Amino acid sequence: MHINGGGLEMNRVFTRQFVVVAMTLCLVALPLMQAATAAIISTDTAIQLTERVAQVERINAVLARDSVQDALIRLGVDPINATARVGALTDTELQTLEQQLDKLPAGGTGVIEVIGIVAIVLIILELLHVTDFFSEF
Amino acid sequence: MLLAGCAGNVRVMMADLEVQTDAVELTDTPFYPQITDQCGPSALATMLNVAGVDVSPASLKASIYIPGRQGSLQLEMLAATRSRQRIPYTLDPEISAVLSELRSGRPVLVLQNLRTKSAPLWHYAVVVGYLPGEQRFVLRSGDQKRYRVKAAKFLRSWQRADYWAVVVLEPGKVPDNVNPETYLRALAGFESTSDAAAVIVAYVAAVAKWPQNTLAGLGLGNAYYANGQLDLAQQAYAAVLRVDPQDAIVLNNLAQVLYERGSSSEATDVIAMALSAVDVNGPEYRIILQTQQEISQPGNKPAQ
Repeated sequence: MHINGGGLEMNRVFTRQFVVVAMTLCLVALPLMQAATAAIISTDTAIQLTERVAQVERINAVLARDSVQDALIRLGVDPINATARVGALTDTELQTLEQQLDKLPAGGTGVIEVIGIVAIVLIILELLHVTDFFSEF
Repeated sequence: MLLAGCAGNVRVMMADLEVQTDAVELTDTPFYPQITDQCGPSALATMLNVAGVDVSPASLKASIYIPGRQGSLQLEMLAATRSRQRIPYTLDPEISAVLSELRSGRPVLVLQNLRTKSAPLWHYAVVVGYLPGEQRFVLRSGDQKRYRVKAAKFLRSWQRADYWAVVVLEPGKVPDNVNPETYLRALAGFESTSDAAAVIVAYVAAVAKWPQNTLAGLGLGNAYYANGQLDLAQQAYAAVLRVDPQDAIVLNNLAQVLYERGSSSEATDVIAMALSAVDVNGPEYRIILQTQQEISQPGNKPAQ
């Protein structure tokens, strides 16, 4: 198997490590329950373990991709574009978006031009926001 | 006190600005007036055109705009940059980093919170200059081609956006002042989402700039591998191993390439070296073990 992205994909390494630890704990529990038998993990099991880890990785990546794609579509993105857009995101980015899509900053609202009384009202609101900000701290 | 801490950072950055004597303004930077909540597409179109990509805000909208959020996410701005064969490089959260880019001739994409922490108003703009005399930054922002904003006001809006600033780089041209770690991290993202030729160009330049850097060499080998150029992948991995003979991931990948090129016994030797170079309990061990299993299966044909 070829390792992509090397040591830079730290999230992927940590996820894998976590899954490996979890799997190992599950497997270690089995021999302990059969008191008298050998406590080592067979090579066959080790192979299954590795394959399972890789499978879990792939499943996580696919799930994150689907989840983010669905979220984008729910938020009004054209489904065709949504597919292309999730395809352009790295696994790490997909994981971040999967968890925080609704909360991350979405830059869009620019400086709005207003005239007259509407401007005065908005200025007062701005000042109120500013006052709230300072009084919080 | 949180407020004091916040103000403290802005004070430090203002001190950085006070020592600036020469004005800088990238007047050739294109301008795409923003339409309603499309500051993301306008700002990104500006950055991409400066980096040689002929693209309009309208065509970027499909890649980054989210109607339900009335805006564009930072991560999607980065992804859209990579999709167009450019490298988004995130700056250190320092105003000196922004000034350094400006003085190198590169405008800077920033996120700002124009309102308050509790009621944010997120906005993308492009910083194109700084005028020390007036203590103002010059931005392409909204519908203003030359928005001159007082430095302290700009810094506070940028601070509330966690000092997010990005420049867009062309593959193959590594700027002088980049941090290798940050640059290679950006390239790793580029690797998985851009076309193979652009990725190769990017890594060739990275290796030329940092020949001792094993991550750059790994990236180059991987880029060739992804492009089906196994001979060049092998050479790239071998070059890394001359710097660090114990790099287990490179050994793993080299073994895979040797195997695919038909050198099974050499592959077997190399994968054994990879296994001995890692902690048995570490995360890489099991992956490398799987490679060894694949390589040693009798009658297992190398993947095409």
